[in-house]
Amino acid sequence: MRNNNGSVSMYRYFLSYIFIIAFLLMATCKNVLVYYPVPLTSEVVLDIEVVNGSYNKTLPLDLDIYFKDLDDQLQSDYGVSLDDVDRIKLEGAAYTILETDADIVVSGNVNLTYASQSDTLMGLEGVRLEEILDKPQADALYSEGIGLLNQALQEYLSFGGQSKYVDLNTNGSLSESTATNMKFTMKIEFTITTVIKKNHEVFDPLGYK
Amino acid sequence: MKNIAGFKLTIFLIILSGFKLNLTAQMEDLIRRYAGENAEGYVEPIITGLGSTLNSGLYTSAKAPVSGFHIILSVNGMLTIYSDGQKKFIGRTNGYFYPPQEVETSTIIGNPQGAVVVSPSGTEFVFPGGYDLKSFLIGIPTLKIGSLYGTEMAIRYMNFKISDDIGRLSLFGIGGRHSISQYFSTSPVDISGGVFYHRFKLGDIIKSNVWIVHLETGKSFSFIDLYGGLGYESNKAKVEYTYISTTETADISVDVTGKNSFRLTLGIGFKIFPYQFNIDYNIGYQNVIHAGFSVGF
Repeated sequence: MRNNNGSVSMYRYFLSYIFIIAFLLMATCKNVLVYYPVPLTSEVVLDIEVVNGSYNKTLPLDLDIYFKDLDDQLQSDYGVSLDDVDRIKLEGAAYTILETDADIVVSGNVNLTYASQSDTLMGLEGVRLEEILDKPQADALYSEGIGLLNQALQEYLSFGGQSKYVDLNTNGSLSESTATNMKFTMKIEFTITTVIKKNHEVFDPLGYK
Repeated sequence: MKNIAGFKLTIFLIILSGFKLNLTAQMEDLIRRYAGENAEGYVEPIITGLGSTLNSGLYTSAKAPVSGFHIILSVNGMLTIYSDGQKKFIGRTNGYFYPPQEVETSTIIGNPQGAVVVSPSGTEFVFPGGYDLKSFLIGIPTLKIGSLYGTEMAIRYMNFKISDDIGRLSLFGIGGRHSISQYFSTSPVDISGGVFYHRFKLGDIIKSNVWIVHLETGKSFSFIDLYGGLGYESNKAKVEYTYISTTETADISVDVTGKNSFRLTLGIGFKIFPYQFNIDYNIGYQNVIHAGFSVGF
């Protein structure tokens, strides 16, 4: 038995190292650039006063503030910065009537103005306010306004933008003349998705490139 | 000196598992997009891969010693290869994206670029990408002790801190195996059966419970063991994370069921006392190659 020790030992070490080498050959770390979205919802509440059957109210949106909030969230929750952002787009938007002091029908628009361009983002076409009270309306978007908002966001991200403000204007009129002076409150929510690209080193045997 | 090679191998395989789990811990960034059915579809391949690999290497012979004391320390490396079908699932848009749509997108092991849905009005819903994984490998130490009336106990254990961000990894497994062929003195082959339970926890993200009941048969020769077996397994996990959607941020707990349920194992072992080297192939929903190195007395 003692005479076999040498061959047994060699066989044992042979097996061990074959095993290790096989794993080393298979085991490979690789870098994968993974894209994932970070949706951030912002809201604006507008107290609208209807005078003589119509309304018109404008509120500036400060892109500096928006991107500061976005950068803070990216850093605290994901450990990345605005430099890691691949693109930024509007995912969706909705308006919600929070309060109204008359059950009336309204027609109007929500317009965006950026760098002297203006387009319609949302349309309110003959909506009875009490019917949609507290119900977000996400199906009122217009492609022209979406394009302008995406342009403003992407330009700010790329080179600071042509303007640091996007003006949000809502205007319209009552379809019924019974109540020409009244008030209602509208909330507009924007969900803007930032697509991050983040490099991950992953261990993937047989998955090397 | 004799044990140095085995020790190095042990450390090597444990390090491999650490690499893998570090990846798994990063999934919280990606899964934040999802809740409910979407989350289950996205994460399921990792849970299935974990369950399939954990349930491998539980026996290296069909022969369970009937009497006498023995103690065996093993290092088990388990590798599973993902199919292309596991890299995709049907995801649903949510939040204020209008109109709602379903689209084929990446699971956590799929295409790193995910998928993008563009609405007629030009809004975009982005699904997260995956890690582009072709395989899943894990290494685990196992300690077996026996025998009491043909019964052998086995324990698997790992517990260490990966990092402050990720937290601790803990794996505890316990099971037993009993010789059935001892009741049939004329049986030409060895037969044994057993049950094994694993509890796996990674930080605050994944808690997984994995069960298997197995029955194996084979023949043990002087230097070689041939064995094969059947297993029925259950694999359930809870994935917890913070869900960030267009309309809410909430702490989510999603129950994910692995798709592995039955397996057929075919294997061979080489014995040179006190060492043993095994390799077996497990055929099931997720096929697994297991290689193990054992030292015991």
